[in-house]
Amino acid sequence: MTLFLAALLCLAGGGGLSLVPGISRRTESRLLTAFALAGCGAGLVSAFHALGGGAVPSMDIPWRIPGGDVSLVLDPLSSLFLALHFTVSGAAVLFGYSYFKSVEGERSLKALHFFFSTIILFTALTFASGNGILFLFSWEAMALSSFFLVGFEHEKKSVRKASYLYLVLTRVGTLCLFAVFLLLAQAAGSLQFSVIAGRPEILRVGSAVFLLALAGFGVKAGFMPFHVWLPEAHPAAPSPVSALLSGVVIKTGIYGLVRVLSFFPERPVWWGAMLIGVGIVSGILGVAWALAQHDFKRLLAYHSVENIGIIALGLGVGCLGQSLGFPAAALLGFAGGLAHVVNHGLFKSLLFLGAGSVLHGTGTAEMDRQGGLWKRMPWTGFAVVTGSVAICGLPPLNGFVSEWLVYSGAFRLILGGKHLAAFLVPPALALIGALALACFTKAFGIQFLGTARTTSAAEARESGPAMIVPMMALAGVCAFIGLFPTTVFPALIRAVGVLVPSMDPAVLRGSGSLLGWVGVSAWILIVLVVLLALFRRMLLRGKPVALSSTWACGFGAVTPRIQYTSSSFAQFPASLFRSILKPVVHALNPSGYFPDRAGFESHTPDAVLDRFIAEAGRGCRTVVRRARHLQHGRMQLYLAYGLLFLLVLLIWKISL
Amino acid sequence: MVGRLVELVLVAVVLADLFVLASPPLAACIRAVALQGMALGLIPLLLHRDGWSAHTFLIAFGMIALKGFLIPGMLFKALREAPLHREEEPLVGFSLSLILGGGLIALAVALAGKLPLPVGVKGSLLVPAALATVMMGCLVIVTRVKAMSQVLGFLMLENGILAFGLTLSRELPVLVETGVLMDVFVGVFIMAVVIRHIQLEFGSMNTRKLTALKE
Amino acid sequence: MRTSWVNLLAAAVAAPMLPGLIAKTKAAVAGRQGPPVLQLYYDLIKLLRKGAVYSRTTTVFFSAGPVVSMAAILAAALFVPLAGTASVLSFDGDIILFAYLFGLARFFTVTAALDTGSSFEGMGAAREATFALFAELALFVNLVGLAKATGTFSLSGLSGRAAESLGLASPGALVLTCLSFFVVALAENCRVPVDDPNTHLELTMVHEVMVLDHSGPDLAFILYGAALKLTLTLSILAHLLFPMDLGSPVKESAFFLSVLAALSIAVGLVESSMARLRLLRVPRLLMAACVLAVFAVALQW
Repeated sequence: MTLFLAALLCLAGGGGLSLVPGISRRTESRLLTAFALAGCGAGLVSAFHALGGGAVPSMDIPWRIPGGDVSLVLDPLSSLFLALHFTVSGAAVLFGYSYFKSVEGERSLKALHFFFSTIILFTALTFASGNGILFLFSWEAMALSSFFLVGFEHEKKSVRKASYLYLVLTRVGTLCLFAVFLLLAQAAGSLQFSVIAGRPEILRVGSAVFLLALAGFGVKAGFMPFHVWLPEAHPAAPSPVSALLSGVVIKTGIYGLVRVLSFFPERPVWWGAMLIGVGIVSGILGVAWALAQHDFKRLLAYHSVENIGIIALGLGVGCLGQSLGFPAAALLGFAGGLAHVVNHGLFKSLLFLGAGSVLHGTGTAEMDRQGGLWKRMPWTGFAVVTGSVAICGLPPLNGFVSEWLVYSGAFRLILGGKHLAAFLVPPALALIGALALACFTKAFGIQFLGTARTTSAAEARESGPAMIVPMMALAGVCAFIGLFPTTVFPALIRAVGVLVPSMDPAVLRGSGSLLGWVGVSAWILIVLVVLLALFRRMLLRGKPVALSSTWACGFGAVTPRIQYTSSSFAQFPASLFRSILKPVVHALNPSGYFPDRAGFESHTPDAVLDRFIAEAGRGCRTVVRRARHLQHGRMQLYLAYGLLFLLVLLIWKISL
Repeated sequence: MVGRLVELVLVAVVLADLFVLASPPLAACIRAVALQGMALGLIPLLLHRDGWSAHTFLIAFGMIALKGFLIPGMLFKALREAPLHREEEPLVGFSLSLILGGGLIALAVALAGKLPLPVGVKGSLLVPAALATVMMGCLVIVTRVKAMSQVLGFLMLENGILAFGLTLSRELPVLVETGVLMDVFVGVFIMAVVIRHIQLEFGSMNTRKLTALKE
Repeated sequence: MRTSWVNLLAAAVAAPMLPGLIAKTKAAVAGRQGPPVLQLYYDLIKLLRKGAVYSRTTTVFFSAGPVVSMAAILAAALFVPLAGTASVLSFDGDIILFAYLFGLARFFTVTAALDTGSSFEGMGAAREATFALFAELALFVNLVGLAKATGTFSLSGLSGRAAESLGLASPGALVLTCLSFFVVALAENCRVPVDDPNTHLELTMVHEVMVLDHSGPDLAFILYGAALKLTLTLSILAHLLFPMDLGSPVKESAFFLSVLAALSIAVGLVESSMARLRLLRVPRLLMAACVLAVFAVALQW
């Protein structure tokens, strides 16, 4: 606990120092980095300590606010999130040290430094607080810090718009959370988490609490209808901030949801089913939108929606398993969901840092303006490809481990019972995985492979070591979890223990040994790759190896502009979802025997924001006018009315 | 063994529905519906294998002849006179209707599980297949533009109802069956006449043109 | 355990024969003599002994593509039951690993294609990634149904028991599953009607265009990987279709090999009897495979 307090103090100290006038910018950013890194290091040690088993450190200081109490608890669940938080924050801080140098000279970094410290501080406090009031307080402080960070480049109109959108939505979310904690406090008689947890009285308000928490925390986490701030705020924020936002801050929503779920000694079946439904919608639609994006950071933002969906699937499988009485499914589902929280935090922040490095090196995040970056920025390329393989959930990296856990949980449910929601999980995950693969082969291939499409890409420069080291560290952790999944399993199980108080040791051992096989398979794969690579080298030794140009069907005048772009790559897969995505396409088709000009341009606006919310207002007005359309004069429609009516009658009659 | 053969035949019946939902060429759809009719004709033979009577044979061969040859023959004749041999621009796309078809199958299975049915047919595929065929027939009628597709939809609907009839009584009274068969026959006959008239009036068999009759 | 290894080794050696058999079938249907069944072996030996030509545009990813995808397919082979014996490795949930290893192979093939900077290879890459969407979806719906029917979710257990348990409970579901799986197998292995392995027009190719620039040992790896993948998917299908538990290993192997040969001939017949579908129709075909799989799951409800 002392170590954790020291971490908080370090962070507060760094933030406070940045407000002192008269320090030169360079010393200021050095001091901040040092303090924040020290804080993250200390925090990480304390989190690992708590995850290793043993007594749960806690602390209580009375507070003047009614119902409030400065109560900090580092139980395994909090520690898991804290471990992720401090890892990602440390990497982001170190990355930011040289990333923000490029804006130095133009403007003061004081606000940035200050809010960077506070967001790390208050996110940590959110994870550690054991009292409703303290939780809401740190939640709000965190939200405000991120508002200011998103609005860092506030001279741009789009950035201002994004940060206000974020502010409005986070307020709406908090409103729901107030209701959640009020209801809980009313039922349990206290705002202390330790008192609320396990009380049978709270089941009375259970459904209302669950729905409000799903909405309130869902706004922060980015569940599908509430995700609208993500694709605006993440590209607007500076890259290290986006890494922190996407890696950790949206996970506070998941943390809150899990924490609220853990209060309930038993949960209705429909909670799990609803979580799975939310997960499927967020997962599939999130990645479908990501596929259609051309801005790397926007693409990554939509992928956060997708991954939050996968996390929700895991939690849903866990809840369903527990409610229906399948302990193995519950264990695997929850473990998968929580593991994916950690894994997504790691590889998504890795990818955002990679995006920052690309932005730093070329000056743009537009994928269609890049190309051939691998030759100029191999380290960044390595970071991005590692993140890409991991986010697609492919072996041998960490993404596969968590997806495997969720899949296994779902399959256990399928073997055990006949709940429809469970049957939907594996196909949904498979579709998400395949879409993610299309999306990230595009994102990596278009940017890093081929030849440079613009001069800025041709003259890209690799980032300095202070930016590469954090990326490599994150990539290393991704690989470690993928190759040694059993080492993190005990910590994961302890975190799951907060949700599932009693676990059958046989089930535990069984799941652990299966996970061991996943690790073994990853190693087999690695060994095979190495052997084949050596075999190939042996075969080519002493043979003629020539360099030539790419085959272009005999066409000689190949230019970089002729390459496939991200639009062209995504056109076919995205066209299959066009009835949902509704991309805006401007095509200038070639005509005549010697066409001179042709063009194709597409962009895909967010459905909920641009279509639903904007349309909702207009829709109300036109609703009355619409009624007239019932009378259409079209034969099929009249038949449809009759048949639909009959069908409804049939279903109604039978379900009575 | 008998039950298994019937199940395979019924799977073929539902596959024919899916085929009609997913493929634009009308000739292929007619063939699919013809095969569906013939498959249904086989079912009485398979169901009553313990005691084949002249009546069973009559029904089976009557159905196969009528649904497998006579009606498709008429439809092919109508198709030959039409200028376009493909369903175009349906109100719901082919891929989406296919997905909807999958949903309807699931719905049919779910509904069949809840219907109050005699014990003998409870677990069998007959009821879900019949329900699915009826619903997919309706889907075709509602979403397709060409009058020919709608006739096919009606035929599928009919086949579904017939399959229902097969489930509910072991020995259908001949009268009912002939009634059902006559019903379709007359229906198809009228539709064929209607198609011809639409054709003559508007120069195409697109029922969308009927919207012009609104006011 | 030892027979598993022996079988795996035998399958790895015999894999290049299946494409030869398919080609022979097609030739026979077309009234040609066709290349010998062992043609792929000659090609592989020739390619392995050659040098290679690389495009100046390419990077390490271009050569990593064939290596990683072949390694992934080899790793996947460890989980596939062959000739009625359990696979070399097997654990609950290896079906997921199996599918994702193919995913990894696809990731690296696609990046290797994009590495050349050629728009043709870009097209092939985009198509491959797109077809995979519904192929994976159909595959997993099938797996869900099979897992439910057999009560296990390891590849060995699932394909070993499917023919018996599902065949007894609902033969219709088994037929539907096998049909759907056959379509998925055709798509995964880039055969007609999804893709034409013999096409020679860059614009229309899918898988072939992605490997257009590979040569020498790299191309050999790709060809061998494709043959092995075909063998693996067809042997899973063979296990789904027939119970392989015949008592003696000799009988089992003989039966398994004849089923495998029959399936290759079936693929050849499909290729001879129909043309490659129009590109935009392929997703519809795969969607139909998904619907069949959903139907199969519904039948077991």
